[in-house]
Amino acid sequence: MQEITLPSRCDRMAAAAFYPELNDAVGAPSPLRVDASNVEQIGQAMLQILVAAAQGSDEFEIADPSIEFEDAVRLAKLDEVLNLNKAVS
Amino acid sequence: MNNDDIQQIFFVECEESLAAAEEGLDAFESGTHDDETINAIFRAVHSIKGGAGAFGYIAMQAFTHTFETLLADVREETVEPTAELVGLLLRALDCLRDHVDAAQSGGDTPEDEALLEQLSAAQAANQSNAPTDTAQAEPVANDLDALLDELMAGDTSPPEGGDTKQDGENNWLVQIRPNSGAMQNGNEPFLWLRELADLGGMVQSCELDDLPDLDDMDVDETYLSWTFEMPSSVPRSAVEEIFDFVGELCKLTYDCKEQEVAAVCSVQSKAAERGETSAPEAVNQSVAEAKTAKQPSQSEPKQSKANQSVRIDLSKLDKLIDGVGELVIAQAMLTQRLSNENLTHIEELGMLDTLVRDIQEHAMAFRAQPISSVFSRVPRLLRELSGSTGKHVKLAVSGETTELDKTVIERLSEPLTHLIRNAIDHGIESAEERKEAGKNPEGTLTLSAEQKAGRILIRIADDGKGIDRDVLRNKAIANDVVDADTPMTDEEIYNLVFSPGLSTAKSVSNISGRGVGMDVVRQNVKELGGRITIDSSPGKGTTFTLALPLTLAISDGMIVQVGDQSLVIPLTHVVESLSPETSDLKGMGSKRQLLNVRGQFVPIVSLSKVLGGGGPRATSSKGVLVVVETEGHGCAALLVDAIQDQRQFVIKSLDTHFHAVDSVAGATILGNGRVALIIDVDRVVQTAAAADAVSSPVSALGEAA
Repeated sequence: MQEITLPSRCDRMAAAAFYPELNDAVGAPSPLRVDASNVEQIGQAMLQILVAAAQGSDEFEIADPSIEFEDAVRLAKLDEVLNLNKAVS
Repeated sequence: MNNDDIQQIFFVECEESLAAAEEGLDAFESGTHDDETINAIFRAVHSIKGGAGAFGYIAMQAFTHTFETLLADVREETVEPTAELVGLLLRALDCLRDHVDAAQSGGDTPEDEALLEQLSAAQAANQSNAPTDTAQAEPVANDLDALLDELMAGDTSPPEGGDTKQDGENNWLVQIRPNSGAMQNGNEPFLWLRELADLGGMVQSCELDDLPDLDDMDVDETYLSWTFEMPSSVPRSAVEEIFDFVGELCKLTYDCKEQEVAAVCSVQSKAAERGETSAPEAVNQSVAEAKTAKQPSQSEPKQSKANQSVRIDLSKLDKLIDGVGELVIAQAMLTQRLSNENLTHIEELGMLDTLVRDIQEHAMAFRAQPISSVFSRVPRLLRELSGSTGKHVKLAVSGETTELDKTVIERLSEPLTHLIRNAIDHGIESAEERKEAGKNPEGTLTLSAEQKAGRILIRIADDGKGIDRDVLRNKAIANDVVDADTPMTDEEIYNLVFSPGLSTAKSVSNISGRGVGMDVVRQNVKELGGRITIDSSPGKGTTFTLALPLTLAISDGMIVQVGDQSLVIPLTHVVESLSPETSDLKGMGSKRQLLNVRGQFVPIVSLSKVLGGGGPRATSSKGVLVVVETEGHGCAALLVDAIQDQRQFVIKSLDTHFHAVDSVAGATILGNGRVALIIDVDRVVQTAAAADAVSSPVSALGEAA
């Protein structure tokens, strides 16, 4: 199991920095767990790469999402595609 | 127009919104709790929030969101308008101004965590006290948003059929598709979703069709689009307003075919969930909805009202003013030329004169702004000063609609701030001192503006202890500013306040007391072609009066001949002109001469002597006295050789083209192409009185008689 943690501020700059790590993790053979407990703000850039990661991996899960993260994901109607309803907390 | 230009407009509108919110909160503080007042505050904050979100000022957007949520509760009367709440709202407004300033200057965002907590706490208190539960309260707030946006759009017709968000009738769809580049320059498309949700919109779907594999993604590119279902009570203009600042960065599509399908599916599934209608009925209903969803755009109010004003770059306006100035000069030259040909009475010349004057007045009006834009910043200054000095000061403002030139307004802020700081720090006593003196423990600062005799008079008055003349004079003597033997009038003593490095403050605070500031104040006012005077009563308070010109560009003047020079006396000072009889003249000592103007004696001042005019003086039989009124030195009669003309003149600054000259306010170009100096009447009269250069016109006027 791989685990990577999202930063508290997930804006475009953070997405650019986070993208290579996420891409490599999705390509790796073991399941991926993304810790979203620290997220306070999130923007479209980060949501896009998370969705693409979720669609590209069978074993992708969001763990311990913060309220802000959940709120943003539901607002963008991406809760199902990110499997948020089954998120591990 | 690029993104920076749009952003500049946003900041200009922020200023307007902040001023509107300040005005509303002032009214709220003084007990006006009606819907219109609260709505005005809400609209102002909401408007800033929209722009902040569009430009990616996330902290500002988050702050305004919390701020307006509390305002929504105030509007719904679920929060009591207590003094504590008013104080909290005022502090929130100050913090919002800091956010705007930080965004504009690129500085650090202000620390607002504590304030946000307080705002949330006030709101949380409401939620716990509210008769309805949270689930019910939320739509109310959302409806308020929708209602206010509707009001902003000018559409006041109530939505038919009650809360359409609940029954879904006539709801409409909008698809937003952030374009490539939407995430550049700090923009965050996700914030637009939040704005739509705040309006009461609900996401129907997020389209992922364009999303590539993770490997092929460009982090700076946008791949998602969303379809929102908006309540029918929300006009399309409210949605467009969110995207006002976004420009080409986001594509909006209303009620497209695909969305009809999406709506069908959405409503179908919702209906199935509720079990209210059969699926075919739901489809029919949704198709009807999709058809009627276009109604908001059809019934949308026309935008012509919003287009009645145009924002113009200030430099373009200045070029226009310069052009008008040159037009006035050209017209004067033409008049002069025609005069040489004895053609001054032709009808067309009169028409031209009227037209030029009209154009000049209109052009000047472009630059005129109400002084309220300066006054509106004072309440915050007072709050800050109250906090640091512990003195409670009430503000009374009058004449805030008085208009004056934009340049004057902009440069007025600094001297006004200095004067107010001094008034609070040194003028108004502490509550204890005031009680001992039998005064109201709460001090009063009065700001007023009025137009009088072609000038704007701004008064800053406090009801404090007044200026101690003896202390001030002794301090000036100790600092070698004046001689101990010099007799001084009250006015001269008060004017010592403006001497550099002189302060009577017993202690130096971070607000004032270092003696710097007041000399800068006078200098600033002088640079504006204005003048400052002081009136003080011990124990009762001090009033500073700023007399400022209406405009810095063009004025009316009397052109007079003194020796071989033509001089201009601004008409705003001129009371009358006359050729005196000997019996109207009265000697006072060997050098002074007074003129009897209908029983009132005024000193006679020879312009030739004061200004050191050269050349042979015209024969004294042509000597003319121009009676002038000054701001601080009463009336005087200026002795000139002859009056040449009376006309508009374009003020050219000597500071800019040459250097400042004492007793001269500027220069102008006459119709004959010659340069004439504009007299600083106040200064001339003051200099004449002080330097004993008062004319002895006995000889000149005696010869005349």
